[in-house]
Amino acid sequence: MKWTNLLYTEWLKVRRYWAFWGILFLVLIAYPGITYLFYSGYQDIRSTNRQLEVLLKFAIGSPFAFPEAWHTLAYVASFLVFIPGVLVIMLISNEYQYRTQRQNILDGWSRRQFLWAKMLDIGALSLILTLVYTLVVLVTGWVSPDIALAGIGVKSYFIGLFALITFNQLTIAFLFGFLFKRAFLALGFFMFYYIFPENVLIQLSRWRWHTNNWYHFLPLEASDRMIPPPPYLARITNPTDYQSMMDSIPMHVGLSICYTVIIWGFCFWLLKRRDLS
Amino acid sequence: MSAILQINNIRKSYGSVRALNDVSLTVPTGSVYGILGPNGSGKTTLLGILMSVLRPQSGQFEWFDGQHGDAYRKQIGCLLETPNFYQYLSAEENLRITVSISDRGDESDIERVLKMVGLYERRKHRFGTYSLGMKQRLAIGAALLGNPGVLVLDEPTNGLDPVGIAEIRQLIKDLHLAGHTILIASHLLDEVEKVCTHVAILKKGIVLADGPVSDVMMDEDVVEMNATDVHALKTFLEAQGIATENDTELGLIRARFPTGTAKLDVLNQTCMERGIVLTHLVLRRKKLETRFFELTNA
Repeated sequence: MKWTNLLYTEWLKVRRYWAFWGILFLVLIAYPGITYLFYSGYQDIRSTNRQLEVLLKFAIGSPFAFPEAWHTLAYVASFLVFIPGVLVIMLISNEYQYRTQRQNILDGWSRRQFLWAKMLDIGALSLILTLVYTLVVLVTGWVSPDIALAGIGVKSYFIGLFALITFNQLTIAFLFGFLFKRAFLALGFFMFYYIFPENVLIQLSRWRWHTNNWYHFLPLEASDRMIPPPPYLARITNPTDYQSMMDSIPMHVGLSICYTVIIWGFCFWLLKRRDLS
Repeated sequence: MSAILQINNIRKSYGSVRALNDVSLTVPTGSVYGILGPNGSGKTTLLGILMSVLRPQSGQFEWFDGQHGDAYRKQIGCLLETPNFYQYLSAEENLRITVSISDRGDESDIERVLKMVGLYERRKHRFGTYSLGMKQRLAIGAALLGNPGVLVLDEPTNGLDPVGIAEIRQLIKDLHLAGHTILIASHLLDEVEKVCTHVAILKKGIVLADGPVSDVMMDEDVVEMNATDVHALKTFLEAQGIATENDTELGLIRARFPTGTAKLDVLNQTCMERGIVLTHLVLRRKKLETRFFELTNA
């Protein structure tokens, strides 16, 4: 079966699923919404007085103008990936709740095709979110008073990084839905994992154990480090590390791809052996 | 008659519970094959394995002369246990998904099966608003999409009213006449007896009997007899080594012969020659229900 047919079937499943479209709508307005919040806040501070404007420009540059807009907005938007994660968990847990996953197999899909279809869902969601991110950056860069169209393509590689971070983290959300099956449980554990275990380990490692940077290799941390803080933020929080963070992006890209492949490989392996009850 | 499905030594356990124990069956092409058994006998587990949603511990099965891979399921219309559809979609939208996955049928076929199962008027309504009977009808409709040559139906009359049950029974008969092979699991003995050509009786995962319905039911010939001199008749039969029993309620004698050996004409003539005049002589077929209870010791 062609991938277009898998995608078409998935489209038939969600076409009239209003809860799905409602949450997707919230996600889609959250991206420009949070951008507008930061952008207008920044403009308000700048417009307070001329001296502050000069000081701000000196300290943090033009974060909403090209090319820095790519980095700034990718960094901001990367904090919101857990929201479409809810959508992904809904999509997979519904299949368990209504036992339609089993029915899809009875009707003729192989177990692999079922998972490929879900992977296409996540791919399509990642694509939509990346398009929204790109659009938001283009509009923000265009309306920014420090407009610098010459730099429009300089940091556009953040489009690829944003697409990858989205796909990677939605894959992690999928894993929780796939393992826990019930939406409530899966969402709870996903949010818990998103917020606590890795962050606690990182803080303990940094401030208590004073161990090396092993935590860079944790799944979510590796994913987050694909888009490090923009230079003006890094200058404030950790000035010496900024360049090393930028230099380690390729390594974290590789790590995140590995984690994504491992998660999907595990799901394929498990579904092949599972009884579909 | 060639086999459309060959099952060899299928075994399946859930923890320490053996759900299927070396089950082997042959389903002839064009038959209506009933799988009978009490609750927990392994009927649904067997069908789940045959449709690849459950994994057997050992054993093999072969549909359509050994087609491998997953494509064989697209040639089979299947209703397994409960009707499984997307609650927020209508009947029509759910069937579109079935068509898209199975490659069976098209838009006009969706209309055809919805009319066939009496849901056409409610086709735009959400599945979640359907009664159990309507859900069951929709599942049967989905199985009929594309007019598949093989149907696997697990308790197809669950939740249906008497009219619905009669309709499904007639539908199965019609499909059989049209040459379809139907594998049907049920605990309703009457249902199986009325529509099946072949039957397998399962208990605790073991096949107790299988084959054509007439063979499975007739493990012996039972002849009901009465005579003007009942005592002489009974004495004569016992002298011949024929097991008898009195039915005092009906005032009859029941004589048991090995399957296929009771010849009524010979019996009548022999009695007449000994001066015993028979007033009642009927070869009774055993009801499936009786046979089922005998086999399962229920």
